[in-house]
Amino acid sequence: MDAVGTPSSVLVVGGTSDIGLAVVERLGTGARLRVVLAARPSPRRDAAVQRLTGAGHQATVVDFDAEDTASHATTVEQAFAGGDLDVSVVAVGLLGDQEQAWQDAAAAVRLLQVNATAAVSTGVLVAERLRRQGPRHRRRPVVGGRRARAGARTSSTAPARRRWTPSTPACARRCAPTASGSSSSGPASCARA
Amino acid sequence: MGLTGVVLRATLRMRRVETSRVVVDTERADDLDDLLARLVAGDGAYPYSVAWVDCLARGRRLGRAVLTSGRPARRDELDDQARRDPLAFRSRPRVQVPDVLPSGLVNRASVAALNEAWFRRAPRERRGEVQGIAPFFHPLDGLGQWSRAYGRRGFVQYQYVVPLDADATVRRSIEALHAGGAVPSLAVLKRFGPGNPGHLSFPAPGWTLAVDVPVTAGTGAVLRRLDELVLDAGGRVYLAKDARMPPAALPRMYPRLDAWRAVRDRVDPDHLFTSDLARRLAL
Repeated sequence: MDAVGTPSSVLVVGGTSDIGLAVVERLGTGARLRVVLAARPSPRRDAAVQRLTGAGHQATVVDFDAEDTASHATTVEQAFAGGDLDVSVVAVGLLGDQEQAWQDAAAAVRLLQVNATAAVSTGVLVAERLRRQGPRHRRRPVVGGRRARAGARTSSTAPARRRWTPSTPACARRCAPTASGSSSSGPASCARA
Repeated sequence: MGLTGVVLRATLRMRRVETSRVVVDTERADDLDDLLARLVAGDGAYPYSVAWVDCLARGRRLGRAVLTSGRPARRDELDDQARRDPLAFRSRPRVQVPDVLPSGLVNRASVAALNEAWFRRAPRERRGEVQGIAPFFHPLDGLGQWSRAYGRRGFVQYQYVVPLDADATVRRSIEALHAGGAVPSLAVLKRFGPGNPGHLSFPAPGWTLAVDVPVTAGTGAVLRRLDELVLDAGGRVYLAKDARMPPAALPRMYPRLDAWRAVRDRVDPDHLFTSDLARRLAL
């Protein structure tokens, strides 16, 4: 995440989600993002890749099965294999059939597996991975840092912005610390490199 | 950039001075052309020169500025009181900015008012004023914690250098700031001399403009436009102050990047030394 709030890389868990892709497109307005889509192999996933590459972003995929929680750790590791990620959007979910869900136990469990268990599983794993990339780069992850809107089944995990304290210059996360800012009149012939 | 190891020994070349004071000439420039001409005319006459530019001024006043140039003062140029302790140095802030200020203090109205006051307060021309080195080199540091005035969203400082024959880029970049709705709270223009042999060294003969811009929703787009102008002019952005440049611009701005990477790969093959800048720019 750069100083003006623009990410350079995004992971979408549930990579065919229209909400997830819309979030990516919004985040990438005017920028070229590296996007990792975690989703089951399908024509919809291929279409999602096309949609993002067509918009100028770089998109790669990793296989992800929401119901197979045992595979989630591998999926998350694969997602981060190409480098650190600035923002992770957990947008996995099934709409389901309400009538079926309250009468068919298996269908109800499946909905909860995908919409709740899978989101929590991947969210925790992504947070742990962000934590690992965090201390090295002095960043801290926040899980579910922004509350998902009801029904959207979307939560996000992103590195927390450093808190401002009276002892922290407000520009600490905005610019390289310079004691004098641009007000310095450095030697015209030998400025700092 | 701190990515090739730990500095264990450094040699500094220093300039001997007789006093902690600077003899300063101050002049006002009515517009950008006037400013550029004054900077060219004074090139070589002073070891230090800097122009504060009113980046909100438009039309025929676009680029109006206050130019200050100085040289170390000799002992015989000080008054009797200062001569008793010619190397006296005091750098503590005179006033502290409190941490209870509301956000949004740095806005178009406040910056325009401050710019107007700063410009009018400066003499049209004054020669030979003796100043302390702290107010001359770091005038803002007289105001402790001045960055608090930007509120929680803070600001970015964008600094570039373009070749001497690309002076039109300075005008275009000020116009781009206007067009993008940015409110540069501080802008400084200087002329650079030769750079140094460092692979990623920033200075090069040319014009260097540094602008402080409060972060707003449109800041990213405005600075991307400035990137384009700088690239078109064959210039570069100052990495030490960068916190948002896209990685694609880097090789064009720093053509010796691959040579630097070869050194880094040799001394740190596992890339154990890293930074937010290195990650963002894929250094």
